[in-house]
Amino acid sequence: MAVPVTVAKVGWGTEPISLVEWKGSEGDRVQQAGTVLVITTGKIESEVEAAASGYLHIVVPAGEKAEIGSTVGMIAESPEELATLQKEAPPRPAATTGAAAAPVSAAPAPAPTGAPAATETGRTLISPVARKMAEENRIDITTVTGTGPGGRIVREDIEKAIAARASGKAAAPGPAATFQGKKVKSALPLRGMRGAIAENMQRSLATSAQLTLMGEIDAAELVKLRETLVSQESRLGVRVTYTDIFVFVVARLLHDHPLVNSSIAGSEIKLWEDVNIGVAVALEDGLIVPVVRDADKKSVVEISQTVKTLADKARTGKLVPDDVAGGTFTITNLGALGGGYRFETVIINPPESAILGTGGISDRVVARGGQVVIRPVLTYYFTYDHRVITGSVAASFIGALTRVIENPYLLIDWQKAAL
Amino acid sequence: MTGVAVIGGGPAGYVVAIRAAQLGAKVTLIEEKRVGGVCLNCGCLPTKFLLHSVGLYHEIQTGAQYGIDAPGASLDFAALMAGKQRTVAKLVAGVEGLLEANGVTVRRGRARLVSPTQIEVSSGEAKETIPADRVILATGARAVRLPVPGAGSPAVLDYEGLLSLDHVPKSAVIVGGGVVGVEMATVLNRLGCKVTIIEMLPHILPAQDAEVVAVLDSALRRDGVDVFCRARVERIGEDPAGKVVTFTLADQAKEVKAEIVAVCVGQQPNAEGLGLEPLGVTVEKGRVRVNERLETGVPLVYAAGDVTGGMMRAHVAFAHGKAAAENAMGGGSAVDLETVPQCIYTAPEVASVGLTEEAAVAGGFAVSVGRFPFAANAMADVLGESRGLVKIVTETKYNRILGVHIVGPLASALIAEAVLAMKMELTPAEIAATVHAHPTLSEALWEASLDITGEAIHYVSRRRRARG
Repeated sequence: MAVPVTVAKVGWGTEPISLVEWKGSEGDRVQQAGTVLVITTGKIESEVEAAASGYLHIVVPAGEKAEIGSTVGMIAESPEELATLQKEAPPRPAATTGAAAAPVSAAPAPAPTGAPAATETGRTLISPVARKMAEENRIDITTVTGTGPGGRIVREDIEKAIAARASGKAAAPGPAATFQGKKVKSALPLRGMRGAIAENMQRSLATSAQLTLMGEIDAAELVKLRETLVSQESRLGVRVTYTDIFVFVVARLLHDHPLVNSSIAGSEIKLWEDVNIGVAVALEDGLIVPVVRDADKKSVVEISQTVKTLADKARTGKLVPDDVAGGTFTITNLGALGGGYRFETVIINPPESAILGTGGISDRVVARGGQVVIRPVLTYYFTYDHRVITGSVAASFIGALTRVIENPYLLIDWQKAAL
Repeated sequence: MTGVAVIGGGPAGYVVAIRAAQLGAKVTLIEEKRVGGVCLNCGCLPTKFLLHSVGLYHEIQTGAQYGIDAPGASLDFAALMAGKQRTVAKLVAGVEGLLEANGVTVRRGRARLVSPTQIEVSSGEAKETIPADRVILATGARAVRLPVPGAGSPAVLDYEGLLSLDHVPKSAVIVGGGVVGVEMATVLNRLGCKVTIIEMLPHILPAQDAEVVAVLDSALRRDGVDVFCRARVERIGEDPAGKVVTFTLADQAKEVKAEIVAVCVGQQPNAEGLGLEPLGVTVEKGRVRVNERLETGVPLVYAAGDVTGGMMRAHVAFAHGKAAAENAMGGGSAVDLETVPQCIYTAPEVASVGLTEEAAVAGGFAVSVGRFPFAANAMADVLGESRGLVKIVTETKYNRILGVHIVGPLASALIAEAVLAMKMELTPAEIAATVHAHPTLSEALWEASLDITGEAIHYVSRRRRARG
């Protein structure tokens, strides 16, 4: 009996899920518990495992959306069963919308992936014979340029793609291909996480009025605090990082700077009661922002544990949609990437209204009490949406932040420190 | 303004002229005889006129099943030929009118290229050299002469002679069972002439699918035509009673006597006397060599239609003419001849597009065939012509349609759907999924598509029967 490939309910979300990539082509043999499909909520990618070994029959092609719980493919026990499935529900080529764009194989592809993506019009014009040939020969039709009327892909185009592949050249722009007169080394599909980053960042800058406040904070006491906490690692059970401390401090300050913890929704600014702080985590091929929920109610140890768990999940691709949802403010600690004395204009993670970037802590020559001294200095960059936050609100928030970082002992009564 | 000179006013030439004029050229068309070429004057159209007449006559004669009884019906041959001439004259005038309306200058005379941009036009003794920026050769083709003793006699007719008969001969031998041969055999046979066809190849209409031809072959024989295939004509002689054609059949010498003999063994391109070779235009086996853009290889000189050899059909000439004119005017048109239909107006008609089953197998394809006989088509029964079938040849791997062959009523009209299907690269599944009106002859193509998988509705296929 064939078993279905189902888009499982992940987390609390009920939004349709996009199919990013089938890890095999129609008819390919798949192994039980092997990854058969990559799906995305738009924020994070997740893998779907095969429930059984067998032959893959794709019902919903990559690039399309599917309802949670729906069957998007089947795994047939035998080639005969596969043939029956194909007859009952012929494999559909990709169509429609989505973040998916034409995948372009970077290397000479012995068998391009069976993940044809959407065209702008939502339809790939292709003759029935060409479609059949493309399917049988596993030619990704989205990489084929049609030469028929209106750019329709015809038999000859697929024949050329097959011949090109046979002669060792990818039909798609390969290593030697040029695009707009420049040589292309490789091309990365702008979909899944990459697509989400691109879309979010573009949307952020296009839809809000961002400006960045930058400065430096004397970090001598912060360094002492962190060193003390690290020395107590065995007692605390975690190795507290600067990031953890920033989350802890900012979570507490946000209560008294409600506009910094808000979002524009329609004609209103929603001031959030919840303080959910997103922590940017760099990945090999991108960036993800898991969220520490109720950070204002968590101890620094709890925050530290939460951040570690989320970062590990992010790096192993195990995040579920809820892990990245619901943020009200974001911290990105570029100091963790080994940054020194530098500044950058970080971009707000919409629909939040502000983001705090922190740089590295480095020794700088500064004036203190009329003397030239060397002090450890932390740089910060605070980008805020001027539609929501005025300069004085930003200055007030940064003033409180500076006070607490320079004198962490104030955290004994942070509500006073915040004012 | 680009000056375009077109040599020849047949289907290729007059289309070139009109298309080039549409694209802004100043066009001169040089024609020795009358515009319209073989097609209009002594080919496709007059033949169709005669075929329609004898078909109508046959229907009246066999109208009893429809309750028609016309005992006095007769066919006045002189009136028929006069009617044919009127129609030809009208069509020629139509083309002349089109040329005039498009501002094309028509010059009477014979043309010879002096250089790629200079053409000498001679009419009688008068000679004149005219300049041209582009030259398009569209000189057409003429009947091939049979290289046997006696074939050169003026008494041996070609298609032109057959179309200018002044009476219905009692008997006729037609050498060559190609399109012209079988169409003229159909005309003469229905006019009451005893016709014999002698064909050298294994079957008449050698380019058509054998299974389809077999239907026509038996129809012709049943209608009283003698057909000899694999027969080689040795000589054409005369005796007091008429002509004597001697031929070899299975190593046996045979002869057949008849009032007239016509040779219809193909067409020879008119590539001589044009001054082509000195200019560097390649003439191979008597035809002007061109690429798919109709370029001869000599800059500014193009060729279109029968003079390029290949598939000598008026509709190919039209396609050539249009593309040649567009390319001469700076375009980039190419002709696709893979899906050119062929129609033969016999009784029943034959029409085809693409590869025959034999050619498909020879071409290395794994072939699947779907068939549907007109005997199982309701409309064919109503029309009283249920001989024939529709045959679809596909390759099994991708279900690509390689060819469609029809013999039966109105095959020439029915083939259009198949041509479009092939051009659009449809598979039989798409034809099968298309609703065809009932009752129509077009249902036969639909059912043949279903038969590829043994699923025709009004016919139990051999395949299914064999499966038990």
